[in-house]
Amino acid sequence: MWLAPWFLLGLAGLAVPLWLHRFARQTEQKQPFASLMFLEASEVRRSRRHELRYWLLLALRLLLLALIALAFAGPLWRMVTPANGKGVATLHVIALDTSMSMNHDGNWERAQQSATQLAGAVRGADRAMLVAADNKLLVLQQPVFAGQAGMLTGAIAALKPGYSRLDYGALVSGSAGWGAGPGERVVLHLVTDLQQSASPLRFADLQPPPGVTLDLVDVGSDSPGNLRVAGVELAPRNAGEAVVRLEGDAAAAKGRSLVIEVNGVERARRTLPSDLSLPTAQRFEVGDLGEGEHRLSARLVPADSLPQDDAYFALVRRVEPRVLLIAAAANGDDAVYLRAALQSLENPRFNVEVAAAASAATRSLAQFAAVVVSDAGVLNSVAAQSLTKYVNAGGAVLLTLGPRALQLPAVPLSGAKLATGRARAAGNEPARVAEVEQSHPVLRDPGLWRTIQFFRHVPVQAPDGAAVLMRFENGTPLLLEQQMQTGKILVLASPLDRAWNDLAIHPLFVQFVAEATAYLAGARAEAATATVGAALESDLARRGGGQVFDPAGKRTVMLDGATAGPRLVPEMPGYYEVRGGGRSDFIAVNVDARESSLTRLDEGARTRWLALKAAAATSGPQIEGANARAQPGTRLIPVWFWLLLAACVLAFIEPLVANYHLHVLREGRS
Amino acid sequence: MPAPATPALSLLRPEVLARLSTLELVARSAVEGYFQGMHRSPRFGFSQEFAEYKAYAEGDDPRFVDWNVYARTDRTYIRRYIGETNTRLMIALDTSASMGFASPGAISKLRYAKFVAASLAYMALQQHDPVGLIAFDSRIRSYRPASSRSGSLTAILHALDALQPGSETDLSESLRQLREHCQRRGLVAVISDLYCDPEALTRAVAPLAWRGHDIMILQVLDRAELEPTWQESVLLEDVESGRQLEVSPDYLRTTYRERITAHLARVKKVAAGVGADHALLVTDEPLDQALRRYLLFRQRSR
Repeated sequence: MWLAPWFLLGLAGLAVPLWLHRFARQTEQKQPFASLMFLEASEVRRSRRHELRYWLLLALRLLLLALIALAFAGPLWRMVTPANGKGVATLHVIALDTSMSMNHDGNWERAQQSATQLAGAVRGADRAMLVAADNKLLVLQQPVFAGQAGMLTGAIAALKPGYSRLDYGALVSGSAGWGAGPGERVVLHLVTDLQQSASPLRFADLQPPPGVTLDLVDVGSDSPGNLRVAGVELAPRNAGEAVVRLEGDAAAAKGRSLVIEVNGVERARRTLPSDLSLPTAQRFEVGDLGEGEHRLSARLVPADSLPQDDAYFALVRRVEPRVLLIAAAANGDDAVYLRAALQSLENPRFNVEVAAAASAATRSLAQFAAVVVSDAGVLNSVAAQSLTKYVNAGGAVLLTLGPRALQLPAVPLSGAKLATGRARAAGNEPARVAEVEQSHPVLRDPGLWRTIQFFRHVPVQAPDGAAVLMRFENGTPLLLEQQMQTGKILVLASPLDRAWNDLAIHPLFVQFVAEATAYLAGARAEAATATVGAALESDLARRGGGQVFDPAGKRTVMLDGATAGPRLVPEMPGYYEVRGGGRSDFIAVNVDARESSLTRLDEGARTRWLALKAAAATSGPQIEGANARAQPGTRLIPVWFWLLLAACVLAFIEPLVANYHLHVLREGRS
Repeated sequence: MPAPATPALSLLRPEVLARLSTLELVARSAVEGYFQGMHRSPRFGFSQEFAEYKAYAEGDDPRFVDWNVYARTDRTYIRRYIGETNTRLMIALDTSASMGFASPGAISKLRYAKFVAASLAYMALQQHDPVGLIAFDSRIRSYRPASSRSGSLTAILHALDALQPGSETDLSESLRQLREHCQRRGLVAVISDLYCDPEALTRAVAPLAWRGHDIMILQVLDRAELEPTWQESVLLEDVESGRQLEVSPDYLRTTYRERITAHLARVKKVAAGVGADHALLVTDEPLDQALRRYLLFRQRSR
C-alpha cells in the first residue's frame, strides 16, 4: 500500500544509470599492448572480478534511485497484529487531570487508582500513553505495549496534582497531536473530577478530533463545599483597613478563622461567624502600612479539603504623592473645591499644597508628583516656562481652561490654539459630552460624564500628537492628553467651578479629580496579583539579568520571551521574588478562581459531551485514509523513513565507489 | 635505464638516434659513436691487427708489399692481417604488429630494431662482410640477398626504411623460408620480440644451426612490457589480435612480471640449446649492446 503511488513513476529514472554505464563502457579508453599472451590465462578471472566492481557501482546507483522513489511514494508495511478481540489496535491515551481541584477530598487517589487500572487493562497489540493535563499538556510516557505497563504505573504513582487550571477544550483539541500509528484508533481516557468550570466557553470545543474516541473516567465526589479567599486589598478610602473577600460554601466556614498578614507578619485574626453569608467582604484593621510596597495576604485556618485556595496573596504599594495646586487665589472657589477633592482620597493619599499664580514660578516643581492648574490663564509667562520645563523633565500637569484662558491665543504648555478667542456659549441648551475614551484609566464611567451640563467651555483645537479623550456633541474637544517629551499633561476645556458647568456638584467631580491626579502622579495603590500558569513578562532584561525565586525559595526557570525579555510562568501561589538590577521585587501569584468551584458537570452535559462524534476527517493527513482502509487485525507501518535512511547511506557510499572507478579511468587515460 | 659511460656513447641512445634523418646517418653515428667510446678507430678495414709476413708470390696484391722491409732486406714481403675471412651476415627482422608497440615517450620496437639492423649492416660492410636482409611477420615481407658490393648498404637501408608493422608473427615459417635463401654458412641475426612459444622458436632456429649457421638472437622489448607501470586497472588491447583485457595493477606487478621473466629465461635456454647467442635489447637502452654482441661474435669466429 502506498501513500503517494504517483512517485513510483520516479522508478523510470533507473534508466539513467543504466544508460550512463553503457555509455561509459563504450567510450572507455583502451591502451594498446604488444601481446596479451602472458595476461590471458589467469587475468580473465581478475578481469571478471573487476567487472563486478562496475556492476557494484551500477547496482548502488540503481538501488539509491529506487529507494528514493519508493520513499517518496510512502510505502506502508502491513503488519499483522495479534487478535485483541476488537480486531483493530488501539492507542489508549490516559489523560490524568492534574489541575488544582484534583487535590480535593481524595480525588487524586481515585484518579491514580483508575489510571493504574486503565494501564493494566491494555491487551494485545494495543498501546497506552500517559499525559498530565492542566494548563499545559505534558506527555509523561510515550506509547508502550502491554508488556511495558509498569512504566505507566510508575509514572502515575510519581505524579502529583498542581495548582493550575485544566480546560477540557484545550485538552481535547490537543489530543489530535498524539501520534497514533497507522491503522490504530485512539481512545482518550480522561481521568478527571468533571469540574464544571473546566468546560470551555464554546461547547463545540469539546468535540474530539478525527480518530479520537472519548472516555470519561469520573473520579470526583459530591463532597462538602469549598470556601476560598477570593481577594484581599486595602480599602479605597482607608489605607489602614484591609478588605478580604470570601466566596464559596458557607458551610465550609464553620469553625474557621481568617488571618491577615502584612509582610509575613500577622496583623489581624478573626473567627468567621457561623451565620456567614457568602460572598462576603470582611474588613480588618491592619494599621497604617506607611509608604512603599507591602505583601498583604489573607489565609483561612484551619485548612479545608482543598487547601490550595485558602490563601490569597496581594501586593499593595502605598505612596503619598505631593500635588501642587495653582489657582488665581489660594482661597478661590476653584482652589477650595479642588483641594477638598484631592484631600478626600485615602488611596492614594495626596499631600496637597496650594500656590497662588503669582508665586507659582518661585516653587521648586521637581518635588511634586503632579501639578493641577485651575484656569491656565492665571499662569504668567515665567510660570508657564517653569511648568513647561517641569513637564518636559517628566512631570505631569492637569490644566483646566476658564475665563482667564480666553484671553490667551493658545493654551500654555500645550500650545493648543483657541478656536475663536471667545468662550462658546451654550445657547438655550447646555453642551453635553458625546464621546468618551472609555479605555483611558481616568474615564472609567462614561455614563456619568454624559449627565454633566456644560454651559460654557473654551473651544480648543487639538494640536498634533494630542489624544482627544472626550468631545462635545459638536466635536469640540473637552479633555486632551498630550505627551511632552517625558512628561504629560491633561487639558480640560472647562473650569472646575459652578459658573461654567455643574461638574462640581456631581460625585463624578471628586472621582475625576482624584483619578486624573493619581493617573498623572502614577500613584495608584493597587493590589497587584498574577495567576498560576499565566505567563508574565519580566523586566529582567532591562535590569541586566537577574534571578527569580518561587514561594518555596527555589530558583525558577524562565522562558525566553518574544519581545520584552524572559517570561515567568508561575506554577504555585505565593510571592515570587525577582532579584536583579540591585533591587528585589515581589510578584503575588494566586490560583485560578475557577479551580475553586467544585460544581461538577451535570449528567446531561456529560451525555451531550460523550454524544459529540469525532470531527470528520476533512483535511487530515492521508495516512488516516490509509488507516481507514486497513484491515482489522493489521497495522500499517510507514517505512519511508527507513528507505530514506538507507538511501542516505547509499548516497554516502556511492561517491566513494564512483570516485574509485573514475580514478581508474583517469589513470588509464594518462 | 643504464646511462652511457661517455659522451660519445650518448650518441647510441635511441632517443638521440631517432632525431637523425636517415638510417645511414643513424648507422654511422651509432657505429662511430660506439668505437669512439672504445677509443678505437671504426675504420679497421680488413682488420688492422698484424698477423705475419709472407714472401711475395705472383698473384699477390702489390699494394700489400712492405716496402720498408724490402729496403732493409732487398726482399719483398707481404703483410698479412687478422680477419681476412669474410663473414656473411643475414639480418632477419620481425615486422609483426607487436613490433610496432611503443610505450609513451619511447620509440617503437620496430624502429629500434631498424636502428640495430642498420648499424649491424653498416659495421659489417665496413669489414666487407656481405650483408643481407629478410623482413617477415607471418610471411616474408622483404628480402635482400647478402652482398658486399658497393651500394648494398644503401639498398638495405632503403629496404629497412620501407618496413611497417604488419600482422601476426609466424617465426617458424619465416625462418624456414630464410633457410631456403641462406645456402652458405654465415651469421644469422634474428631481431624480434619473440612473442612465441619457445618450443616453436627451437623448431625454427635449430635447422639453421644444423646447417652451420651462427645464430644471434636479438630480442627487442619495450620497457613497459618488462616493467608495466600502470597504477590502476587498465583495459589493454592486443595490437596483433585486437583482443581486449582489463588488467589489474596487482597482476601486472606480480604474476605478469614473473611470467615474462620466465619466458625470457626459457628463450635464453632455448637459444643456448641450439648454440645461438641471445641478447635482450630494451628500447630505452643504447645500441652498444647489439654492436658489442656482433664484435664478440666476430672475435670468436676468427
